[in-house]
Amino acid sequence: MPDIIRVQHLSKSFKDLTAVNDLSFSVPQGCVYGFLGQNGAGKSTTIRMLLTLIEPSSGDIEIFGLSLQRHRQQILKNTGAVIEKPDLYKYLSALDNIRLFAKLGGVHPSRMQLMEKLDKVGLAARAGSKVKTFSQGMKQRLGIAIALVHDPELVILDEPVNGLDPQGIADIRKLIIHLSKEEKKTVFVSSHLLAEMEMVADHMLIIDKGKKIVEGPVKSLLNPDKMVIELETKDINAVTQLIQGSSWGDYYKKQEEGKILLEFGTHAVPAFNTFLVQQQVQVLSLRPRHSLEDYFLSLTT
Amino acid sequence: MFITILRIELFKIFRKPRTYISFGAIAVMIILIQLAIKVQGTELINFFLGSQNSTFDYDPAKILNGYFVCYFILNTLLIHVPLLVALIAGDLVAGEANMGTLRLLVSKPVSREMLMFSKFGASVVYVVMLLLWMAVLSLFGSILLFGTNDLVVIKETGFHIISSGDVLWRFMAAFLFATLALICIASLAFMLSVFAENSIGPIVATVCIVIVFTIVQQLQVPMFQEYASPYLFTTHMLGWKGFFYVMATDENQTIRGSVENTGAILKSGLVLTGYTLFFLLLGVISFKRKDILS
Repeated sequence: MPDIIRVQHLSKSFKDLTAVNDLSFSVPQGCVYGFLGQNGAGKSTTIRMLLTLIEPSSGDIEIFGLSLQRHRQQILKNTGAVIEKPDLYKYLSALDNIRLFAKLGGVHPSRMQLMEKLDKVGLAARAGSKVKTFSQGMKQRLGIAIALVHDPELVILDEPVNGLDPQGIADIRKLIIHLSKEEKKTVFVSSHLLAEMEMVADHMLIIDKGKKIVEGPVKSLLNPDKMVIELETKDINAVTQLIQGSSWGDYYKKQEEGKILLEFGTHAVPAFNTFLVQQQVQVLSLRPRHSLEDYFLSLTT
Repeated sequence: MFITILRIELFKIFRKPRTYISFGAIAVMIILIQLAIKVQGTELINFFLGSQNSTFDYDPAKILNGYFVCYFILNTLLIHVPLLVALIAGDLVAGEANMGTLRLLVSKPVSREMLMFSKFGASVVYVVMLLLWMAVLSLFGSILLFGTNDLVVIKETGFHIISSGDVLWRFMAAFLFATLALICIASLAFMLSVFAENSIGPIVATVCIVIVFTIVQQLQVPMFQEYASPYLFTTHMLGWKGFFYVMATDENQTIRGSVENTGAILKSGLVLTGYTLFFLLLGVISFKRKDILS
């Protein structure tokens, strides 16, 4: 598969702050590419550079094999994006908003075509309503409809599930998979939720403090033999001592927010559970955790 | 593409309720002035004529006609209209940044220069419509209410009497000149709007600049009069009055179609155009280099 996005040695500094530091990565065509990092890691700055909202301090960006600097308009014609929260014209209706941005994108769809686009995100019934009456989830869906209105080859979604309820998150997840598998679009999606990316992404890039930590296919990066397991119990200090004094002590990591964190493969969870039962530990919960912090922890230990 | 974006910008401007505040405010002010003159117009004329009343042999009822009322309205309102223009022009970029729509706009396949020129074009259309509205209400409204007659223009040193047949084109020219002056204000507010993340800043800054410049221009301090006033755009905004200062014969008869100082009007027009281009280009260049962080 050819690369849709190729970023080389990209950096951006704001006065004393280096937001993105010598970042290089490639996004294969047709994949869902998860762009992960904690808040402030430099994800939004990178996305803004991909969309020419911010001028890089140094480095090169190629999209569709073309230099972004030299072929900006040609590239943006074939790119749709939702950047952070989807802020739209609140005093206009959903239909007016999508029509307006379609024209700016260089397409002039009919009312029926626009209604079809709104219907795809479940907003056809509210086409005439002003955006100020919309919930966060509805605005997010309208933002996605606007990003897709000109049928772009590349879709960039910046934290698309932020502020959504579980149903909304599931809908966005389904839509991302649909865009990639059915419509053969390349989806570049940023998030700080590792578990979310694990469910939708084929490839993944994790950045921290503007620098690349790891990049590659999700399946090879998320090693099921090295997961952070979270144990919640009543007497946390006594149980910690018990674990540290046993053969499970090698897997003990730390206490965090009233929970005990251990690191081992998911296949070992039943054996650990048996150990806890035998020791008459009152378990409130025992589960693997999929957070970026844990992933960073597993990368550095 | 320019026309498409211009139409989009106009659509956005005229779908905002705040746009109609300006039209409403102008209508209310003009109607209030017309009503006041209708009720107490003679007292107003006597007040204006002041000490010249005894030497000036002219019927106040004849002075009080639609042209005079329109001229009075222009003198009163053209100082305040910049505020109404700043309300829209100052919002064009900063308002988008505040709403969060600027990043979506700039990520579309439209050059930033095109976006800016279209936005400015929309503010020019808004200014023209505002002044057309003002012209319809103040000129044609006053003619309907007060009829027509010769226009008496009172100056510090005397007055000009312009025959009724020689007035209408002067108003047209004055409104055109006022359009140029207000476009200059729009360009200032527009330029300031590029540097702000919400529209309050550029609107207030524009109004403050206009007030400070007007005070400097009106202070009778020789230093300001010599070195500052001739260069301030606010001084040249009053150039429209020049169309109502006419030349007279040796027998003190006004010459039909004449203008006392055409050169001064042209100079003011050029200064305003220069300022407009400067503000516009500064705004466009700054926006082109700006990182969109909103």
